[in-house]
Amino acid sequence: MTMPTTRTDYDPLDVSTLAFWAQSSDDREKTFAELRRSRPVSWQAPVQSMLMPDPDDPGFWALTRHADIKRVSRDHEVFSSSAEEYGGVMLDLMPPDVLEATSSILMMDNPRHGLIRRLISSAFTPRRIGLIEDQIARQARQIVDDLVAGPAETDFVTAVAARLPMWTVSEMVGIDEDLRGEVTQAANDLVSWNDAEQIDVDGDNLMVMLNAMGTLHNAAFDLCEKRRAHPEDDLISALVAAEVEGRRLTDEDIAAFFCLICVAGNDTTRQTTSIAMKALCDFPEQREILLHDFDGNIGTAVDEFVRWASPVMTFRRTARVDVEVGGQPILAGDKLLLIYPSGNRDAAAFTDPYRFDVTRADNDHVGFGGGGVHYCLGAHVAKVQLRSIFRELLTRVPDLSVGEPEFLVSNFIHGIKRMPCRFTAA
Amino acid sequence: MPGFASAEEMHRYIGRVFEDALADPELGDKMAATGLVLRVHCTEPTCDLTIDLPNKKVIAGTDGPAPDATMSMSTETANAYWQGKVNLPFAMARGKVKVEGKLTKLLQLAPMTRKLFPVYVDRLRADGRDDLVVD
Repeated sequence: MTMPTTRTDYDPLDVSTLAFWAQSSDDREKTFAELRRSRPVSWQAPVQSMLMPDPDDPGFWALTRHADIKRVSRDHEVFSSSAEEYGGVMLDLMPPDVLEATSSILMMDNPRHGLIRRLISSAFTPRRIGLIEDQIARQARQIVDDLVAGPAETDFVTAVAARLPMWTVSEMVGIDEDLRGEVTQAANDLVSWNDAEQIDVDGDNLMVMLNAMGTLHNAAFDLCEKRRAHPEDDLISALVAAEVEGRRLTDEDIAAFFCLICVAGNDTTRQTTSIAMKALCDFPEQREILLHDFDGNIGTAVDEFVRWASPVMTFRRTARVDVEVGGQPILAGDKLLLIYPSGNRDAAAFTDPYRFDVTRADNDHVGFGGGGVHYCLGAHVAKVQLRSIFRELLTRVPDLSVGEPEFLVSNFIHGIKRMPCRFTAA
Repeated sequence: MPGFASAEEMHRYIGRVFEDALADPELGDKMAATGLVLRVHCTEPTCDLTIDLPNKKVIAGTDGPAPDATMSMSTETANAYWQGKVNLPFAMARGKVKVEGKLTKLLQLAPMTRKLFPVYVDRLRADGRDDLVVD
């Protein structure tokens, strides 16, 4: 057995620090572009963690090319996502117990990953997906109703982008109306470790996360019990009844999945909505093209929104065995960081990658991951959300414009915390 | 799942695993560096351990310095935890483990303490206590 790489000649283009991730996405891209060109698989210093610094962290390989990100994503036998064995897929170290209780299939390897994913997928029948689509269209309408009924200058994130994701999740899952406020707050707390405004220097953000987890787990356990006794037409009822090869999901499996969709289904669509709205204002000709034939162009536009935003900037894998990536030898136990925004600006995969183009064809972006067994389970729901909210926004509030966004400092989520918007009141 | 029959059994097995951790060349100093005094309070039967991490001392009962963090659970849960059979956040949500005080620094050590799980099971087996081993 070999030992993981322990060299200390870290790449001078350092992507491990918070200062690097505090730059604008354009400035980060300058570094990624140079890395893609000259050192596509670079050895980086240990990550500067906002959560729990790991004194034993030797560093990580940063993967910047589209082709390498896809290759590693698809080879799940060699590149592990396991929370239990390798501490999961986050760049920052987190306690394995916490990861297992919140990340479900995101941080499992086969065969368990395949079984749990099949069980969860079996609950998303075509009929259920139809219900979810109708529900999202209704919610998007309501959000824009509320927007136009409110002040003509407001915060786009609060008034629009942040509202749809947790509403979709709560209603889809079957959270009781009176619990939705508490569950939404807990879901937001669970992703708040990304937010420098909430980071406590003593690391007490972990306690914020634990309390949030407790709220979400309790809500899920309670709901499992109720729906097992009295099934309703919601996702939890379908999940407690799901059966594949004689196996069922435990309440803990369902609670962990609930936490996963509260995180993965919350931040991602919210950020893509804000970033895409900003792009449509920055490139008004693209907004015109989209609006000219909304139904004809929204399909390619949504993929371009996701490529442009790259809301999840990084996930990691850990090599199970010695292997080579992009000509670089990787040792068993080494961590590899998949840098999605870099893959999404790779000229080897995209013609004119810096152009925001709502009609872009063959958009093989890695915004939902690089393919393979861990491809985003919520991709369809996310696309329906984006399609629905932009249909309402662009057709009903045609002069909606946004100002300068305030970005989150994070090595994980590409996020906008606040962004002023204005429109002409009806 | 099995718990301990007496306070003495809890002190012997749970106390010993903390002694092992503190004696571990990799783990001991890191645990000491947290500067924390941890109390493990068990029910069924009622018993306590006080672990003075900075001084690397394990004390049966509630003597010693005042704890910075207290974890309360049944002896059954404590026994299962050290065999890797308890997920802490889930156990907290289920009310099986209650935590008061500064947990964060202890959670940060959790990845390292996992290597003690097989050691704990081996000791139970070596003592002929297969009845305490959780499948």
